[in-house]
Amino acid sequence: MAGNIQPFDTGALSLRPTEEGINTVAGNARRVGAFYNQGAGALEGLAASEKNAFGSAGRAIGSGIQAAGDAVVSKIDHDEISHGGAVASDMFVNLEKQWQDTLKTADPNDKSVAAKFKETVLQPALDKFAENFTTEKSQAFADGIVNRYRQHFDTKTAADQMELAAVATKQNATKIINNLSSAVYTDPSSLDTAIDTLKHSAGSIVDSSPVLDAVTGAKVKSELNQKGVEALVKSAVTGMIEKNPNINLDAIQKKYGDYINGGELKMFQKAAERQAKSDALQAKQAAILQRQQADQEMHAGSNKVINDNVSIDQQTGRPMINPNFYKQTLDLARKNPDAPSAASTVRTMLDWAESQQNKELKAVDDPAVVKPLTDNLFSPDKPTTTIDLMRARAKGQISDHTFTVMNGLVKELQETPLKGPIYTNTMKAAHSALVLTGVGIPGKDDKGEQNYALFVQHFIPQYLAATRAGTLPANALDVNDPKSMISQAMEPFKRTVTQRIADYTATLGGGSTTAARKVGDVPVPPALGGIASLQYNPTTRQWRDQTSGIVYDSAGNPVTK
Amino acid sequence: MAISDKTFGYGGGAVTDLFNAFGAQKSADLSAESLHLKAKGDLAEAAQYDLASGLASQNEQFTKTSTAIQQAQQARSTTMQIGGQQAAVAGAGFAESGSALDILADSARQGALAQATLGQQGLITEAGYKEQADSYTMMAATAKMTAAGEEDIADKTESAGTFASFGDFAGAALKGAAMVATL
Repeated sequence: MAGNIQPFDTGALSLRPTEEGINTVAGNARRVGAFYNQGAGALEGLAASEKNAFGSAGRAIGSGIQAAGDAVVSKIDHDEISHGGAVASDMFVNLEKQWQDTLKTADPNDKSVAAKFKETVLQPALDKFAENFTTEKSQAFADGIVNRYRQHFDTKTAADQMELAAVATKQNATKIINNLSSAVYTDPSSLDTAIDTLKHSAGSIVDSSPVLDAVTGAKVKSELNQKGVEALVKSAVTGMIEKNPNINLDAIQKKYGDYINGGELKMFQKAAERQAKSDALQAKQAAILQRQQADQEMHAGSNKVINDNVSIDQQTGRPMINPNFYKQTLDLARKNPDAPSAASTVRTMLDWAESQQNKELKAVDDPAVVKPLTDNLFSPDKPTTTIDLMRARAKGQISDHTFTVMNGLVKELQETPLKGPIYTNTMKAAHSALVLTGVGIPGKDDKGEQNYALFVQHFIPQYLAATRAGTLPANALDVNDPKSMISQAMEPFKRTVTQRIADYTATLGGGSTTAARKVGDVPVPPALGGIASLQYNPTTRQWRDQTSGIVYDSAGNPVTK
Repeated sequence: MAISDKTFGYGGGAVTDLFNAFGAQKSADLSAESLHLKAKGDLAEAAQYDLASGLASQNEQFTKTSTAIQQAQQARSTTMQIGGQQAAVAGAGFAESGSALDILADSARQGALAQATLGQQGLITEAGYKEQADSYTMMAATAKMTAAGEEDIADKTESAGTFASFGDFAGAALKGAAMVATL
């Protein structure tokens, strides 16, 4: 039985674990990691892109700003440099002028002049100039200008101040040289002493200058010594020549040959020759001058003799002569033997005095004589003198009245001369207005000349009186103004055209057709026809010259008491 | 000072630096985010590896159980074989001695050998699963450590980005100041 019992056989039982899950999970793990890594990689890429994007944008904008800025800066550079160039040139001119102005008033021995100028004028101007530049390049331009100007003025001011000091030193030394030159010119024997003095003084002046440096000082000293001594020697030689043209120039050249060259020696020789001639000429001129002075003294003396010894009788208008007249007139000749005019003057005076003693001489005015005497009253070269009047009176060419009146004018004009083109031309105009000339037909206007002489005798005293009183009108000499003083004075002596022609032709012998002159209804005596301002007294039947005050009878003779 | 090429050069440089600063910050942030993402991926991967390790460990247990079952079946088979042989000997009238006994002894030895072989095979399979579990565990740990490292790097990247952007901002500020200084 036992062999037939079959046991339960389950076969080979076993558990078989699977790795599917493990593999799946492990694969998932790798895939998950890969996914995350993929995302992370994308982010990394994005980070790089963002960085590049920002960097690129920044560089682009930055370079744009720089480019735009560079363009703006270039424009500003150009504008400021262009404008600055013009301003710089103006500033240079102004600074130069200010420095020159400073130099004009600067003390040559003040060594701080240049430093003060640079501190108070130059530096402020340069600072102000530099303030106007805002860009680096324009400021570099301005700095260049400033540095150049500063360097220029450093050099220039130092040189100018040195030169100024040198000039001042030379000027000071020149004064010494001039003084010493004058001394040796006056006294040539002091030449050696003067040379020593100059060398000592010039050296001291240069050495004591606070501004001059050693080189400039030595140069100035050398120049002063050489030129100064040359000047002294030449001045001394000139003085010697002037004192004695026959000096020994060879000896001078031997001793002072360093200071006189050959050309100058020849010049001195010629100067000596000229001096000799000059001395001779001077002697001649001295003689002439002596004679002229003697003539002047003779003239003055004659005036004094006349003034002292001749008076006018107010009643008769005739001169009264003191007996001393003759003696003093002769003394004039004795006191002025060198005066060429002594003899003729004395003779004229004596002739005149003699003519005054001749009571029978009834002189009347000769227009041909009165005219030059009147015209020459205003002559600057040869004015009418008392002697001229006496000579004419002695010859019977002018009346006593004319002599008296014109002599008064001569004296007044000596006190207040009326000479020169204004008076000459004015009197010519008055002459033309009163005297008919140049009409192209024979004849002459004696009446006009007589009127002109009377006008002068009448007008000049009025004019001089107003001049002295300070009441002279501005139009006093205006012949075109009918209200002027001269026109008013001319008025009584003016004639109509008919009268002027009649007077002109009357000198041919046809007789005057001019009506006799009257004052009121009384005809003026012919002897008084030349008196402009007459007053008639019907009671005494006498005439009175209102200018001179002389009284005449009805025939025109002076009335003596 | 004065306006010059440098003025606008500085200005442009400042703008460039500003953009660089923003770019650097942005880039650093994105890089850090990328690292964070990688870390997350590593952590996720580590979790999967942990799961795989657990599954391998379960297989190891399954193998133990399977080996025990197989050994039990082998022992029953051996017993049944020897019992059969004893019955056969006894049925043949043989004493359990001599050859019969040798046969029984050999069967016993074969059974023991099969038993031992099953046991050793089970151990070998267990060891394989254990190694697999350990490997996944180590990979999970490595992934976690990597994640931690990436998180740290991300933080440092953010700091570096901040520092770089600060540098660029500072550069921009300095160039801006330089630009103003030239005016």
